[in-house]
Amino acid sequence: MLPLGTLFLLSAVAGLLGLDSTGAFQIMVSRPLVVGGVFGCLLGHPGAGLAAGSLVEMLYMAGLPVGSLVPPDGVAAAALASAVAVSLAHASEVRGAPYAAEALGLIASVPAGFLGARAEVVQRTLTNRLSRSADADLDAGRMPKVGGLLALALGLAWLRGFLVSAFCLDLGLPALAVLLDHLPAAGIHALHWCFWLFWLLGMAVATNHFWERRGLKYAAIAALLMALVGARAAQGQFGVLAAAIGLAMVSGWWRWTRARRGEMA
Amino acid sequence: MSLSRSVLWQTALRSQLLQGAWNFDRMQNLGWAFCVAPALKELYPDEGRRALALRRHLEIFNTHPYMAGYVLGAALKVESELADGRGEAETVSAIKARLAPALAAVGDSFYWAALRPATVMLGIAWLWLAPHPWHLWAPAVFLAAYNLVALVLRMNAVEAGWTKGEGVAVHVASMGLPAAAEGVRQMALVLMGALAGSLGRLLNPLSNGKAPLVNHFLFLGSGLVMLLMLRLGVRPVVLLMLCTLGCLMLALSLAV
Repeated sequence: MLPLGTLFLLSAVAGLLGLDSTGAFQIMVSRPLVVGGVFGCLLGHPGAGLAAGSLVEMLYMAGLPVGSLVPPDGVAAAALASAVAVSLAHASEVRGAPYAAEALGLIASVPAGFLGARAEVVQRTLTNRLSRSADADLDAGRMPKVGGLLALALGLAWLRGFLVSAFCLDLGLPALAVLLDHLPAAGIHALHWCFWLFWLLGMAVATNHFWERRGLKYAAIAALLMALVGARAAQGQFGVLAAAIGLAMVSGWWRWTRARRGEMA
Repeated sequence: MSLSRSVLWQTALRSQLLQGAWNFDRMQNLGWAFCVAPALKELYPDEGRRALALRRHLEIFNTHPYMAGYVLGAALKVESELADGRGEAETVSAIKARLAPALAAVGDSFYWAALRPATVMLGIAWLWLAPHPWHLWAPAVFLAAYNLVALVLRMNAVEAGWTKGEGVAVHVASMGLPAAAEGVRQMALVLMGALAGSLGRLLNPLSNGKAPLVNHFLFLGSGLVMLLMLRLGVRPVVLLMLCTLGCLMLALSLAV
């Protein structure tokens, strides 16, 4: 279980990052990839936090906040996933399955995301009253303090993020630690394998999101080229990264210019 | 009556909080009223007229938060004409109702469905392929790539709306965002292909890279099966549970 101070700090940070998802700025610091990195840094293992955050990110990639739709809460999900990945990493390593904690974190992040979305619906319903109070002020012949009402709504949004994260971390972490300790060996190894399958699932979700018949052949060519280059290169080289990004940018540029020409015509 | 440049900048800055009080009754109305408050103060020194104008701006409103600047600028242009005694009060509501859904559709397809996921994939590619410890900069790479485009377009939106007025829709159409979305989506798809090609060898769970080639194909094949199921409409969460169950059954059958 996390010390009370750490739990408070993590929940407060989650609440702040969560403001970015709808209420303020939307510069994308609320995306699971960033939340995972921040939580990893705060808990002393940025790599594990990032790995967990990027898994959650790919799983949630297709959820778009269009209209009044509230997608699963990526901040709560990534907060729990990265906290589990960092805090329980040692326990899963001891049992010979180093990635079991990260897979368990991702599985636990699903209910956390749904809980966060439900809480957001409640928060938005409560905000209805602030909108009505502005009308009531005008009806009474007073100028409403719109800035104050907005600050109140943002405070409510922060509180929602804080409470959801505190609930998930305070209850989820100890429960998952007990689960990891008492899982039979087969269960631990299954989780370890799941980690790799979850990467594949994430890639499948991302590919499905970007799916377009015309672009598939270029993606296949890129896969073949990179398989040839990758077979000769060691893991983690800027050259491989630059080749991947270069291929993608050339292809995107080509498509953009063709689409632009079509628009002009 | 013209609005000062500082008021337009205040409006642009305040538009970052447009969704701060998003509610189911009237969506972005409070945030909108917060954005236009400095402009209304300048246009209507008389509190009675300002209260009437504010009531107009507390009506239901919803659009893509990044495109709201264009609507804000155009609506303030009409509002300034109204302050001079030209035009009708209903025109302000009409221009909001006309521009908001059209620009929301453009913003959703460019920012939410193309730019954001594509730059996320760039960050993930950085995380997977960059050498240690540079891979830890993945979130910074994502944030920089996304905001380089998004912030620049967003901060200029109010001024563009103010300058073009009701013609702002033509201005946005001339920016070619749907074509750019197509290019960005293809870029992301090719990046996915490149990632799959360069990581297929490294992601073999059973052998630490020492297994026969057939295992690699089996592993990537399972990814293709997942993609097929997603194409058939199976939800990712269901696939997550199926993966977990499948691994558990495999581990039990191998009696690890």
